[in-house]
Amino acid sequence: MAIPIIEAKNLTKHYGSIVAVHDLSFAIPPGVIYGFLGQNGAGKSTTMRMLLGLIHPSSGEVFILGKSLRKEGARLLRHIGAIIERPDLFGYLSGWDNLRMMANLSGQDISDQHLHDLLKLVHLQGREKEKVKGYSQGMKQRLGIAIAMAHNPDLLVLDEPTNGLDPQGIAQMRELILQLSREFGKTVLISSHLLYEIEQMADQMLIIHKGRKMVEGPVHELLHADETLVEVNYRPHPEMAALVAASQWVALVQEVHEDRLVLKMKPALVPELNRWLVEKDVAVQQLSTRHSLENYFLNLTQEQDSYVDAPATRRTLQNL
Amino acid sequence: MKLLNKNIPARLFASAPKKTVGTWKTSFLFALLLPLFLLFGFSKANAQQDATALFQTIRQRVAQTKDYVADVRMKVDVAFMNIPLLKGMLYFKAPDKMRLERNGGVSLLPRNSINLNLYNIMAQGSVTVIDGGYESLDGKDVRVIKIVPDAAESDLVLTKAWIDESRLLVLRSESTTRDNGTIRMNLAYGKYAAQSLPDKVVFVLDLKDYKMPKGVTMDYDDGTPADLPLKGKKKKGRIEIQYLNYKINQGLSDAVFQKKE
Amino acid sequence: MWMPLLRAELYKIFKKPRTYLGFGVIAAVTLVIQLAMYANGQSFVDFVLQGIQEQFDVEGNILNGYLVTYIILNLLLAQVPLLVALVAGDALAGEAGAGTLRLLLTRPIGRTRLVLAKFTASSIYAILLLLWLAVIGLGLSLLVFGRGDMLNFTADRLIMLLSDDIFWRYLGAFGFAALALITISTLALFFSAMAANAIGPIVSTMGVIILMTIITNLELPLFQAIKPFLFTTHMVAWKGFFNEPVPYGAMLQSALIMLAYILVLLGATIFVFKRKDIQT
Repeated sequence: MAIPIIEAKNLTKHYGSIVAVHDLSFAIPPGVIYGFLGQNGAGKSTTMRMLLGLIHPSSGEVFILGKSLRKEGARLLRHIGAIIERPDLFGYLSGWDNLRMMANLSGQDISDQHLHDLLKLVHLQGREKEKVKGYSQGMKQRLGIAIAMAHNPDLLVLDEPTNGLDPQGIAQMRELILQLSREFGKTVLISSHLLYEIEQMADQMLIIHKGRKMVEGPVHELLHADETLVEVNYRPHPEMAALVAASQWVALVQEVHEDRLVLKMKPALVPELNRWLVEKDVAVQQLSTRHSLENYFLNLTQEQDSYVDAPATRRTLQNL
Repeated sequence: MKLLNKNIPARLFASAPKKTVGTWKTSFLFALLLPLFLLFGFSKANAQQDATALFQTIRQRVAQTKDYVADVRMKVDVAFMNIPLLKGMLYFKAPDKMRLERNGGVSLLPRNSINLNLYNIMAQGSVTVIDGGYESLDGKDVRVIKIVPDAAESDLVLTKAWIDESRLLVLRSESTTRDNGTIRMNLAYGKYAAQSLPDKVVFVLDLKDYKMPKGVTMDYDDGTPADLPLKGKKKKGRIEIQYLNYKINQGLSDAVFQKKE
Repeated sequence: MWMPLLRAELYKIFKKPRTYLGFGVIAAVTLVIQLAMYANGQSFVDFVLQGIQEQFDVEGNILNGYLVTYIILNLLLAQVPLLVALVAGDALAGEAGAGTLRLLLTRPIGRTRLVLAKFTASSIYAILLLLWLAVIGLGLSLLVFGRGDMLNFTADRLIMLLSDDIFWRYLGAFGFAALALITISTLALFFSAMAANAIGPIVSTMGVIILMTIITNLELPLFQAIKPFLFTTHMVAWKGFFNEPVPYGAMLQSALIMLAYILVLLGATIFVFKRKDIQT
C-alpha cells in the first residue's frame, strides 16, 4: 500500500475553550483529488493550515510522505504547493516577479521556460508583466495555482479555490484542477463549502462539521449514485398516505405528508412515479431529486441556523 | 668690576669719620673712602649704563631680523582645549605682523600674539631700562633687566628679561600686559643664536576659564569625570613652539598677513 | 536557500515606494542643513567660538566639510531611527496583514530562516541609509565646504582634530551608527513579529525610543541606575570617535550593549514567531 502523501493523526486545535478541530484523522493516498467539505467555520481552513505548519496543533501530528512535519520541519513543504484562502500576492510586483520569486524560494532550480509553460497552462501568458494589484480575482487565483505548481510538488492544497469567482471562472478553475490531476498526476486536496463542487471534482472526500469528521470515503459511494431522494410537492391530498400504502412505492417511501412525499429510489424510476401520480390525480407542483449525501449535509447545516430548506436540485450552503 | 650684590653694603655708610681723632686720620679715612664712594656711585651708574647698553646691543641684534618664515611645531597645553601638535609656517614681519599658516588647517595663536615676539618686547619704541642685577636661571648666572615702555598707550606695561650676557641672548622674559595678564617666555637657542632667533620658545599665559551652553555643544558623555571649572579664577596655559628652520629677511609682503576668507 | 531568500527580501524592500522615502528625507534634511550652514554657518561658528576668541586668534577653514557633517549627524541621527522602523516594522506585520506571510510560509523556508533573512535585509537597508547619508552628508559637505581641521565644541573643552586624522573617525562613527540603527530595526522587527499591521510596530518602536531617550536625558537619581542599560544611552557613542583621546573602553562597552540588545531581541523575535499561529 502506497504511503499517504499527507496524513493527519488525531489533529486537535483549541483556542482557549473553543475547540476548532477535534481529533481529526485522515490520509490522502497519492494520485487522488481529495475533497474536504464543510460549511464556513467548520474547521476546514484551520485543518489546512495545520497540515502546512501555519498553525500549531494543540495535539496530534501531520505526516508528509510518512515523515513528521513537527520533527522534519519546513523542508517537507517542498512536496506541497498550496493556496490557503485567497491567493494574497505581492500586489506591487508583476505576475512574473511573484512567480519567479516564489519559485526561487522552493529550494529547486526552476527554469524560466518552466514558469512560462505554467503561465500558459493557467491562461496568464501575456499578462505576466502587469502588476498583480491590477489582476482580477480569477487571474489571481490562476497565478496562485501557477505559483503552487512552480516547484512540481507532489500535493496541491487548494483552499476554496473557486471563492469569489464568477460561473465562468469557477468552470475554468474546475477544468484546470481536473487537468492537473489527470494530465500531471497531481494529488490534490481541495476544500470547499460546495458539495456540488466536491462532487464534480473529487475522488474521495471528508465532511467536517464543528471541527469533527462526520463522513469520509470515496465520493461515488458516499453519494449513492444508484439511489437518490425524490421529493414531490403537491396540492394537499388527504388520501395520499392511503394511496401510497396501497401502491408499489410503499417500500421506497421515506416520508409522506398531505402535501409532500419523499422516496429513496433509483433515478430511472422517476418517470414511472410521475405517471402514477398523474393517474391518481395528484396535482404535482414540484418534483426534485436529491442525493442522500446532499440531504445529509443540508441537515447538518439546518441544525445550526434558521435557514429554510428551499427545494432545489443543487444547493449552496454559504452564509448560513 | 663686577658688583656681586646690588644692595650697597650699609657698612660703607654706617660710621662717619670721627672728628676728635687726629685731623690727619680723618683726612686719611676720607681720602680712603671717597674714592670708594665715588667708585660705588660710579659703579651703580655704570651698572645702569651696562644694562642699558646690554639692552641696546640686544635690541640691535633682534632688530636685524625684519621678517622671517619659520617651519614650526606648536604644542598647546591649555586646560579647556585639546589641540594636537600643529605643524605650520609662522610668518613674521616687523614691527607687528605675525601669522600662522597651516595649509588651510586651523591656526590658533594667543590673542595679541605679537606680544609673544622678542622683537616687540626688545626692539620696539622708546623704553626705560632698569638694571635688575643678577639671578640664577637653570644653574647659570644671568643678567636681569626691566624694560618699561615709555609710551603710555603701550599694551606692554613691563617686561622683565633674563639675559645670557656672554651670548647676548634673552633666555626668559616675563611681560605684564594691560589686558592679557602676564606672559612668560622661556627661550632656547641653537643654530640661529647669532640672529637672536630661538629654536624653541615656551609661553606660559594667564587664561580665563571657558564654558559653553550645553544646547549648542555636541557632547558625548563617556563617563569620564569632568574637570571642575575654576570659576572666576585664572588658569595657566602653556604653548610651546619649536622653530625648525628660518628663512630670514625674505622681504615678505603685507598680503601674506591678510586673513583668507 | 539562504541567498535566494535574502535576495527576495531585499527585492521586496526596494520595490516598495515607501522605502525611498527614507533616502528622500535624508537628502532633503541634509541639503537644508548644508544650505543653512552655507548661508549662516559662520555666525554659528563665531557664536560657539566667542569664548575662545576672547583669548585666542582662531583662523583657517573652520566651517569645513568635516564640521558641517558632524553637525548634520548630530541633528539627523536622532531622526533616522524612524526611517529604519518604517521598513523593519513592516517586515513581518505588513506581510501578515497583506496575507503574503502565509504564502511565504508554505514554501520550504522555515520560520527561523525567514526571520533571519528579514533581519539581514532590514539591517542592509539601515546600512544603505547610512551610506547615503555619508555620500550626501560627508561627500557633498567636503565638496562644498572643503576640508580642514575639525573643531569639536563640548561644554567644557574645545577639541581640534587634524584634517588628515578625521576620515577614519567618520568611518568609525558611521560603523557605530550602523550598529545603533540595526538595534532599532531589530526592536521594530520584534514588534512586527507580534502584529498583523505595520502601524503598531512602528509606533511601538518610536514609543520605546522616546521613552528611553527621556530617561537617558533626565538627570534624576531615580533613572541613574537604569541609564547604563538603555540602548538609547549608547546609541550616541559614535560621537566618541571625535573625542581625543577616543574613549575606546566606553565605546566598546556601548557596542557590546547594543550587540546584546540585537541578539536578545533577535532571539525573542524567532521565539515568538516560531510559536505564532499564522491566522491571516
